[in-house]
Amino acid sequence: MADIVVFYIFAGISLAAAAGVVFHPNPVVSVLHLVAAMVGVSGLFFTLGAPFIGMVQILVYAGAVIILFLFVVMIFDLKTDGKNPFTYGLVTHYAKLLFIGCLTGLLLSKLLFKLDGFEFQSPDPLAPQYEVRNLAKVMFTDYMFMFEVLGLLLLVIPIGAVALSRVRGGTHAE
Amino acid sequence: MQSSLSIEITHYLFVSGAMFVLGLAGVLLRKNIIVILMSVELMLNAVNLAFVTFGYYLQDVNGAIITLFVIAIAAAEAAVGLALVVMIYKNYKETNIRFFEHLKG
Repeated sequence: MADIVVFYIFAGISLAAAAGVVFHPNPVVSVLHLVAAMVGVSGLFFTLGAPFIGMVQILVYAGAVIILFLFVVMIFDLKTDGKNPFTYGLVTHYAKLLFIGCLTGLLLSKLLFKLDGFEFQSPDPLAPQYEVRNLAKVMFTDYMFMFEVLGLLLLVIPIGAVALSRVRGGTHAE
Repeated sequence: MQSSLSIEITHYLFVSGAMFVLGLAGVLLRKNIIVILMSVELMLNAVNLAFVTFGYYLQDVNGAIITLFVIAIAAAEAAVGLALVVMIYKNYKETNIRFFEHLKG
């Protein structure tokens, strides 16, 4: 019974905060809603028996990515004085809404009607498949090459970000 | 027919799908490019939730590994995307996507 309550709390937090990100006109409030959505998804990871993934989610997203977003929004000092935050267009607006509705219907039909054919065994709560030890064993054997490539990516990405956003002029102005 | 009083895989997948649709709506409907990047993060989170859910219910550790990779790549993508946004804002003094849709200089 308790797991049902916990699931609905975290699912409600996630979905309400996600709706807040999309529909609130002020970008600063959107960023703060995004923090709540990340924390809700992290709680869902905890209920799925993956506490390490949940902690990484909180550390990387709420700790690093969201702070980056928040700083960018704040240094831009965006004004939202009553302007419409949504795009509009005579035809394209309805086309976008149509695409969103199509995707919603597709997912709902898959979830409600088609998934009964699959056999998912109810997971054994004692099975330690998401223990950090098991994660590390698989990650540093089967996924070793992917891990190295990810390290290379994380080396290249900051260089690219600095090269893109550097200030021309400064102490080296010509 | 399973009883509705326990949490099944479809519950998690419903949350994941609803969050993905919300992110898609944000990408398509919002004007502010920073909010569009945030909606992309929402969609990545929905996919992560689906990965971990399937990994849990299939007793497979690969779902969590892929989720770790997706989180790292999402952080990198946010860094580059925000650098691009800063550059665009310096050129156009605007974050509304209507003002730089032609991508000239």
